[in-house]
Amino acid sequence: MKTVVIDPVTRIEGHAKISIFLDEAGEVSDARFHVVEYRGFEKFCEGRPFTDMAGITARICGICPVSHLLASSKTGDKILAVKIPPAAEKLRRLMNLAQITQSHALSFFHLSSPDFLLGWDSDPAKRNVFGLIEANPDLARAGIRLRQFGQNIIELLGARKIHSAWTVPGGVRSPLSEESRQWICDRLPESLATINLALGLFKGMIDGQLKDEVNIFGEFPSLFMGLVGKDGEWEHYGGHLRFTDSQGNIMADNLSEDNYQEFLGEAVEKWSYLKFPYYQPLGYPDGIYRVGPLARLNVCNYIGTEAADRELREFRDRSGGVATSSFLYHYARLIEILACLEKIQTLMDDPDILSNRIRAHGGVNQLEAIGVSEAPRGTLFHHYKVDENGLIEKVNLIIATGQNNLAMNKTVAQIAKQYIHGDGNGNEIAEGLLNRVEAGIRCFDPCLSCSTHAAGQMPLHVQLVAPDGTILNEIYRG
Amino acid sequence: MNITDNKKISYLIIGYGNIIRGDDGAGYHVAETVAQWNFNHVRSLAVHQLTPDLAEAIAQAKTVIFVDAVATLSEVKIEQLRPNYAASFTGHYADPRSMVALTCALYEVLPTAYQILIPAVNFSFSETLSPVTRKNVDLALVKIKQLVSQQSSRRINAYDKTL
Repeated sequence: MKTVVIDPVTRIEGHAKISIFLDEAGEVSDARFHVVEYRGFEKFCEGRPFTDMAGITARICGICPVSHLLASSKTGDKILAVKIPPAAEKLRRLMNLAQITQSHALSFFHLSSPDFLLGWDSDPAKRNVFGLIEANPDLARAGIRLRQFGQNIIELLGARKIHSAWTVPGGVRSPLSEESRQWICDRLPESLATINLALGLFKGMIDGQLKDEVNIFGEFPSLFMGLVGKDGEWEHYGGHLRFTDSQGNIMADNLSEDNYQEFLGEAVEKWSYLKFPYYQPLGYPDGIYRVGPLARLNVCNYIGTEAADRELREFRDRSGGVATSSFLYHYARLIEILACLEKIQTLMDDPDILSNRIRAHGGVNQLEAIGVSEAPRGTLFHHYKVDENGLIEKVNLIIATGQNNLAMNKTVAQIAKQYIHGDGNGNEIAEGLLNRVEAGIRCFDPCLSCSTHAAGQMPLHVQLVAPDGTILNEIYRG
Repeated sequence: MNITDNKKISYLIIGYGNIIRGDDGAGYHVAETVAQWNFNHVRSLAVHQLTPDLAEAIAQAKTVIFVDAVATLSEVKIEQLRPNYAASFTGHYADPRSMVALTCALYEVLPTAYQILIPAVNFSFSETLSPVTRKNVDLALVKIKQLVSQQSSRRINAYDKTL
């Protein structure tokens, strides 16, 4: 058996390796997505005050620190046993909407669109942000400004774009000023124009040059999980958990994060530091489920804003009701950006958003708590056990990207089988084919620094290895 | 997108680094100090890391000066930068040359660009600068003040000049 290794996977957050196993005929027999990082947040947080956890876990990542701030603060709210003021919830929601906007914009415009616009087989030296600028400078500029919009809202609220210490157990530290509110309102029209431009462009692509990718990049049945609100409204902060299947049937509903251990299991494989969460009633690995933008749009009944709901209807029409292709994560991300912008507008029109009543106070009133929030990449759980003094005794983090682990592996294998056919002589495998496999991972926009709570640098080295261990070919990248 | 010369600010200082990792925050502290000078022709940004959205601010300046801490120097160093178009951006990392290249590609302008590198010795968890780096930060600030005290942008005569 021969092995093709892609190491590291480029243009994702964090580092990973893909191994593609070929049989004697040179056809792909299997593929694995390895995560080779380990950081140990769940261990070294033991003994820390629970009030420190938001700041500590936010430093798992520089892209989605807000997700950890929110999940941790919600866990802290429960330890204090307080109900946070309505304005505090609205402000937290505002920050999460901004975070989803900026993260999705990064994913689409910076990490993925070079492939869409320039093609999988284009010169790797140009298949990057500079190539994008050359191909479509207006789109590139607009995409950067859209991401900036989300980041600036985070900074207006929390005084920093990254690792803000603003959300705390009980609420938030500071209110929104009228000046900041006005800045947000002034920039919304441009952001809405950008996302509508991107949606139009992408829909044209999936009707045209990206048609095959929709069918090949991770098209398989699975469950989907996400938060939904009352009446099944699209949610990103509160509500309850729901599982649906590939036919759109609700498998489980009104689930509370407090009981997550009853419906989520975590398996471990020797070849990866990333855990394999699964839906317990169906066992491992049949309980494969997906989270994130695709899942959130599949599990919800509606979004609750005019333009986003219109796009959601079209999304469902195009995908036959339930979107099962992982490639459509990109499409879902754009719809979610639109939803976020519309919901930000609604919050800006709410006079309560400027309220100074933003924090509740309490002591350690519960010794175990679980908080949940929708990160850009999917559902995030923080589970803390504390002592009477509020010091952490045990932590479990279930990260968004981790819950897509089974699905990412399946996607890689599917793409590899479609595009990689060794000729048995160890000849070079085209760059574009390898890029397609990597692109399958990028559909999920994985944040591996989060999901293994890890960081690291690895040299890029691709090897084609014969069954007897002979290296038939090698590619170095970067 | 064209930004005419007479609408540009003369100097943009971008100091970056992690302020809870000791001396890594040197650039950030420099930028914060420069901002307090309140010079009309100088804009100063203290940021955690370089990100693509900074390109817009860079395009609006005639001269941009990046300030960062490095472990491999013994003296404060100032050097002129050329754009690097071969870079790949992630959400976490970009370098000054890539930022200049991105600015040129996006906005069709090429500001004069320099970087000031401040020797750093301690990158462990701390919110304070080491005495050595504190001294080097002060040196860097003196140099920046000399530069920006000129009302129009002026090229530094020597490339790769050490202070």
